[in-house]
Amino acid sequence: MTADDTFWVTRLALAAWMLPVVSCVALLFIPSGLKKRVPLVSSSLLFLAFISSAFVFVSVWNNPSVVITWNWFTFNGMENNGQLRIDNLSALMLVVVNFISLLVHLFSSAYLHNDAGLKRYYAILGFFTFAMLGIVLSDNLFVTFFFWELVGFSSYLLIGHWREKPEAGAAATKAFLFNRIGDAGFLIGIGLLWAQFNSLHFETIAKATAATDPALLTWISLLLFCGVMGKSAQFPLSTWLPDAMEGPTPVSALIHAATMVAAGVFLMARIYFLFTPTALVVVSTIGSITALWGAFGALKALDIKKILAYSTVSQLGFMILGMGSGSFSGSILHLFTHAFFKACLFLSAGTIIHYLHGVQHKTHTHFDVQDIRNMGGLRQHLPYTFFAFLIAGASLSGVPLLSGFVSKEAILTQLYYTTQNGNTLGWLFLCIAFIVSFLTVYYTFRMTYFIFFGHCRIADVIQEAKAERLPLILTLPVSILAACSVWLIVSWNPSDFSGWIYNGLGNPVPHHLIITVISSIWVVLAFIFAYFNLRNKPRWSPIRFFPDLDVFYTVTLLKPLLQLSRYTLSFDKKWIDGSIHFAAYAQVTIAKAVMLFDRVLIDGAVNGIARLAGGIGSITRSLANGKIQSYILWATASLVIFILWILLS
Amino acid sequence: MQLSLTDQLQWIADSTSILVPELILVAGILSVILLNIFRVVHFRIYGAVAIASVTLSGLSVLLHWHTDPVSLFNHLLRADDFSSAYKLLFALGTLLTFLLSLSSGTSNKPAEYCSLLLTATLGANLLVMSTSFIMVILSLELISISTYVLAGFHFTKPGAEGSLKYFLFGSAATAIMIYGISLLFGLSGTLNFTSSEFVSHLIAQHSSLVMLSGFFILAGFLFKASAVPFHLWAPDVYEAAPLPVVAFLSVVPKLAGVAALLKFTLAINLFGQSFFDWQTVIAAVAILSIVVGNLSALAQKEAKRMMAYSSIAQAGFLMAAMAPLSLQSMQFMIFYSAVFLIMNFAVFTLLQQFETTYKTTSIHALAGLAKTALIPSVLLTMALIALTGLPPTAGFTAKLFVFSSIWEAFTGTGKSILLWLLLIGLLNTVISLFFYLKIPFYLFIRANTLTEPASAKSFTFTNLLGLVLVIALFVFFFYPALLMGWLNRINFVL
Repeated sequence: MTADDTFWVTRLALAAWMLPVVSCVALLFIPSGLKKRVPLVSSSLLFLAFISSAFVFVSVWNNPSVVITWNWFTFNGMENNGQLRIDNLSALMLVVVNFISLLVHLFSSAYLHNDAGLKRYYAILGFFTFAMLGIVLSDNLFVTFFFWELVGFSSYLLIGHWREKPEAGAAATKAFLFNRIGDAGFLIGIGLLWAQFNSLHFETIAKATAATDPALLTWISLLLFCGVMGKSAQFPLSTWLPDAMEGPTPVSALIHAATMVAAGVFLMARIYFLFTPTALVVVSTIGSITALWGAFGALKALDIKKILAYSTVSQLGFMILGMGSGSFSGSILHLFTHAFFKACLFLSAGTIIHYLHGVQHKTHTHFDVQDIRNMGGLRQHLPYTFFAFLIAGASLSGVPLLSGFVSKEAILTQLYYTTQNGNTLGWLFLCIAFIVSFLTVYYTFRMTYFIFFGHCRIADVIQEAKAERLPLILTLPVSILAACSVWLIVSWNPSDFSGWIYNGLGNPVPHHLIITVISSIWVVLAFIFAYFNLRNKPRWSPIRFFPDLDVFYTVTLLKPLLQLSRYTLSFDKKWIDGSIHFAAYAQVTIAKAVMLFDRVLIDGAVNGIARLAGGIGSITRSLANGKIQSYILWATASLVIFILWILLS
Repeated sequence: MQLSLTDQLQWIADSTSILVPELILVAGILSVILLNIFRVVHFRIYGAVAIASVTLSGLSVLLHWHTDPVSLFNHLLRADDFSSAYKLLFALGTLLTFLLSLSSGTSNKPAEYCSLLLTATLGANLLVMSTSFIMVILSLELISISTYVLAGFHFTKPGAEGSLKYFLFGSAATAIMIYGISLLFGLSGTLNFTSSEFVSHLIAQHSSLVMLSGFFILAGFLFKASAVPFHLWAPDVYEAAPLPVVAFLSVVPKLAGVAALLKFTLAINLFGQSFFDWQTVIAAVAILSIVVGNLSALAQKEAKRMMAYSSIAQAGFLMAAMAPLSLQSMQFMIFYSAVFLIMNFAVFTLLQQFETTYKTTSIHALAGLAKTALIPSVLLTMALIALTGLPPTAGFTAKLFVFSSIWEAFTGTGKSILLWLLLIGLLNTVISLFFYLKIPFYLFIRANTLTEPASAKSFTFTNLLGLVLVIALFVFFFYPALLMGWLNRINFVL
């Protein structure tokens, strides 16, 4: 790459990064009369950002990375630099984030066109995109942390967008607090890193890790992993994500499927060099628990968005599980494909909800529009959505010829290679990965079956509503995302994951035919099992194994905590307040006593002296009564008294 | 010791040349009387002549400063440091009186007024120089008779009444004093109380008659100083007399009386060899004066009458300054006298301003006048603070010196009466706050209940005079060395 290219790449990357925040600032100043133009303005800016990032991607891909360094602040004579890095990983994420953000911007214009807070919504959406891209571009852990927190904050605002809903507020708070717990560990890890290496630049640290005590590295990496657990909803900090579905559906598609939750996985790829084998075992364990928990949650859930949320948790766990294999390439590939098909699924769900809302509005009936039990046979009413959902769902399930199959195969292959290297725990993780993919097929089939097939449970209502066709602005993003769910996006060969993207990411492993065959068969088996199991109204269901973490947290943490706080409150009231009140009363009592003392004795003495002085004064004054004979009498008399006193003494 | 006629004539001629300040005053008196013969009516002309003679007299005191004592007229008088210092103060006091009189406007019978004031000053000058009882009586009467007349210079019924009371009371006091002098003359065989034979004869006498005659002579001085128990005339006279005369009475005769009392006390105490303790008597009189003056002043509603009691208390403080009977205490007494002169004149000057503007000196009538007459109100407040003895005024410095010298005397002699004097003096400083600050209280705090007061001119001569005096009070607070450095050079020889 020439210097000229570097110049343009840098400028375009900054444009791709800054245009969303320009949209945010522009919206803050837009007059309220132009409210209808808000989606147009911000979508145009996002489109420009997307074009820029596409150029950056094309220029940078498989070329040497570009690092931008600037002096952030100088403290105590010590320069603290911030670094940005544009390499394969960040360029890929730049495109994905901007692309999905653009589609979500477009989708939202129809989905939220009557919303009162439209301006605010688009502004925060732009701000979120900016913050997310900050994480993506950062080459310095402190810069990452900075945008990490901005992402958390904008996510909080977006989840609680419908502020009139108390559930939305609670969900936003919950998401924020869970992220705080993770970030506490993250911050301690950053502090340790700084203490150890005196730098937070990834490259500088990477060079220094070789000479560092592995035990310390394990601790640091696990503390940093806490942050990943919070953002990527890993067990046990996973329950906020299903609750976050209270936010608008496009937000769920952007933040809780494609970008923000992926930030954790992305960060792991950036700091992968810190993870020791011991730490990777912990990572894989957490990932497998999360993957299983999410899958069971998706089996149990009945709300369409919650199913997708649990599925996301499960898939994120799957990626983290894959991270334990010694290479992050497979997980990043899965992150890439997952971003498209999960966003597609969310937007399809959004389309369905939007459609049913319209029906509900026209017929003045009331039913839960997100409950899959109220749906069924919708394939006749929403054919485009059905096809998109089908493709994306198949991709999620890992059906061959689709992107999900390819990326899942990459993770499975990586896990398989670890077992070949003599890692006995690797077999356990591989088994769990297969179980998860089996369950994924099951819940995806169940969801699709309930929504689109069989008898329509609200057919008469839909008939009555005579709903018109969906607008193009809703179907177009869904269709594009569905198209992006095919294998071609990853590699030319539908059975070989090591295509052009996979080979561009870090340390790839070669393709293994056995895994391809086994996973294809495995998916088919899972479909057959699911079909028969669901048709026969099964007595056995995997659902009963689902542990409700929120109940568990409530029993183990919240209740004792509340009890403790009640104790401390009563202690506070009884003893602290009591002693303060007692002190206050004692003070007042003493003050009254002092006042009484003051009044009676001090004032009394003063007044008494004054009265005495006045009395004596009136006597001495009375001598001057105006009669000269008495004056002379008094004068001589006192002289005589004087003399007598002297003589007698 | 018999001198030849020529020697005596020579002595008279020599003595006369030393009496320049007094001769200037005499010339002033005579020229005022001569002017009256030529039917000059303008008060200002008389005033100018009188001021000229007083100023010249004061200047001649400064020019002919007698560091070494000189006896005059066969030991009738003596010129020394002590008397010169007081003569200077009398000249200043009289000068201020004339300025005050002139600023108050016209006067009835200006020639008589001026000549009488000058005569009283002449009497005061002679009194502090006296070494003989004859001279004491003569100069006391010179002061008394002229001030008897001056006290009635309003020519109203209360004025005449006050004047007559003053005269009768003064006559009684003088009578008692002359009786005491005659007794003492009989006991000592000499009228010169500074001579060695006076001392030696009295040391030989162990009779109570010495003490008795001493007490009788005290009466005359206490009457001049308006100290207890010969203070009763003061309120009536002060209330009825013209304000400049009151100012004069409260300073010049009082200081003359106290100064002469000091000389007499040192003599009768026989330089510490007396079997009778005169220090205790002085201290007792000081205590009584302070207590009676302050307590009586508390309930006064008339500013001039209040100032009468205040001056009784101040006489007490002057005597307290004298009480240690040491060289340093005399220096402090002169310091106190000078400061007392300034602050008393400051108060009377400003009261004069209120009297000319509002035709009253009733304290209640002063309510709320600070709004219309701010400058005199502020100045009067400062002068009263000085009289109370609070910083940052010279009144504080003067009282501090007095109290510290009393404390030293107490630690030196261990006489409990001195401790009592100190404690009562301190206590009375607090009590005096109540009546001194009553005037500022009415001026600033109380609302005016009467009709709209006439707006006063701020830039008057009286205000200027008051301002100068108040500034002097501040200057002597911050630089007491200006005065003390000069006083420290003074030698006191009796």
